Amino acid sequence: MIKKVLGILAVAAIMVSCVNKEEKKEACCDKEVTKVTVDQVMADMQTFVDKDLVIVGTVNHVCSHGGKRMFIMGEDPDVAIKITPSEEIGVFEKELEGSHVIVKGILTELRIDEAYVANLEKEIAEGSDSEAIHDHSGGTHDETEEAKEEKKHQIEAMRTQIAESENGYYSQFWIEASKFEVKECDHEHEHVEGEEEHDHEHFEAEEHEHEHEHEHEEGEEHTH
Amino acid sequence: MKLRKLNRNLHRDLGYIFFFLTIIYGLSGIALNHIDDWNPSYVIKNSEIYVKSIPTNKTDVTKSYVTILLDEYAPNEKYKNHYFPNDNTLKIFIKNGSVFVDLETGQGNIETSKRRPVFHQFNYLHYNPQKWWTIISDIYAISLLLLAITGLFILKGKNGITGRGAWLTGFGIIVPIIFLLIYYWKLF
Repeated sequence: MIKKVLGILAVAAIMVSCVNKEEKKEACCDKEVTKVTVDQVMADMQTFVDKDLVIVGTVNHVCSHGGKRMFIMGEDPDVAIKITPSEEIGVFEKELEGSHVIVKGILTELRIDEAYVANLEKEIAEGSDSEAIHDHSGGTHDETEEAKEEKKHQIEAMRTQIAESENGYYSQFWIEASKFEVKECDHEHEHVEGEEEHDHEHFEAEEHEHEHEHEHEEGEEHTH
Repeated sequence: MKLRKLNRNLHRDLGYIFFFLTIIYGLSGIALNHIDDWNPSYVIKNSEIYVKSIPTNKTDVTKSYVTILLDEYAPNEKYKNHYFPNDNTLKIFIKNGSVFVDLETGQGNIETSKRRPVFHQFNYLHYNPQKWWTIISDIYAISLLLLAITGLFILKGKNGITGRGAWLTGFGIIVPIIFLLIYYWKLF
């Protein structure tokens, strides 16, 4: 009986792994991707909205509670872009902080206008959360009075930004990652001003997903 | 009679199958309920350092300088990377955390984060990381419904659903309804 059950589980595991491999092949060759640096994207966000991108940067923060967001920076440490994981990536681990990563995904734009903020206020009052709250400041997961105050300040700041905008809205951008890998370097890279990033040659290696992951914790999978 | 036996067997087998998932969701549920008070996924430690001699010029803070600094103040930590978040601050990424140093005062802080055993893994699953896991957790949720319903009809008699069971089940229904009346519908 136990042998039968184990046999069924083994067959099921093989089938699941085959299905995943099929999906991977389709995902890699479907669309043409644009290869960019964080600084290039941040300098001209609108150009890249809804485009498939391969972007390289250094992880400077991972949300430690759920791992559902990380921020990567380029040459300028003041400029970082938010990355959210696809369902297949699942979560980002905190150990990624400080690592150079190659992320493949779509740049998403969220236009924040008065209607959006009003709705957000309602959602916060009801206890739900929004992606817009999780900007580079990190947002909060707490529901303490202090946290509620912080959210109120964020709402006020949003309204100020809307008022200052010409179009009656401003935009937040993030990349919805479909896959990513940690870029292994022979030498550790230093983010010193004026130094050029030597990322371009590494783009070519992006499909060698599992070959460069040994720096990470055992069993951790970043690319699918 | 046959229906009751089927009910009991279903309850028993679902209980066996989903024993470990219940432990996972139970423990991670408690952990996430108290997320304001602790980080269930990581053990985060902070320690203060004071760097005695530090270059006044930022360009002198090279990788080799930083590794020497780490050897002295955090000898167990492995260097990953470093940068300057602003003119006065050096941030060093180490394998399990980061080090901040104020370049003017030499005051610094080492923050290390290590995966909390058991909870990190259980929380990972609780956050529904993969579509396959969503399917498994959906099956588990449906099974919980079945466990709850079949549980009502395990026993007959004074301890069954027509006796003691009715009172306890009623209590279990009333508690969330009172909360809804007070906090959701705000009737009191």
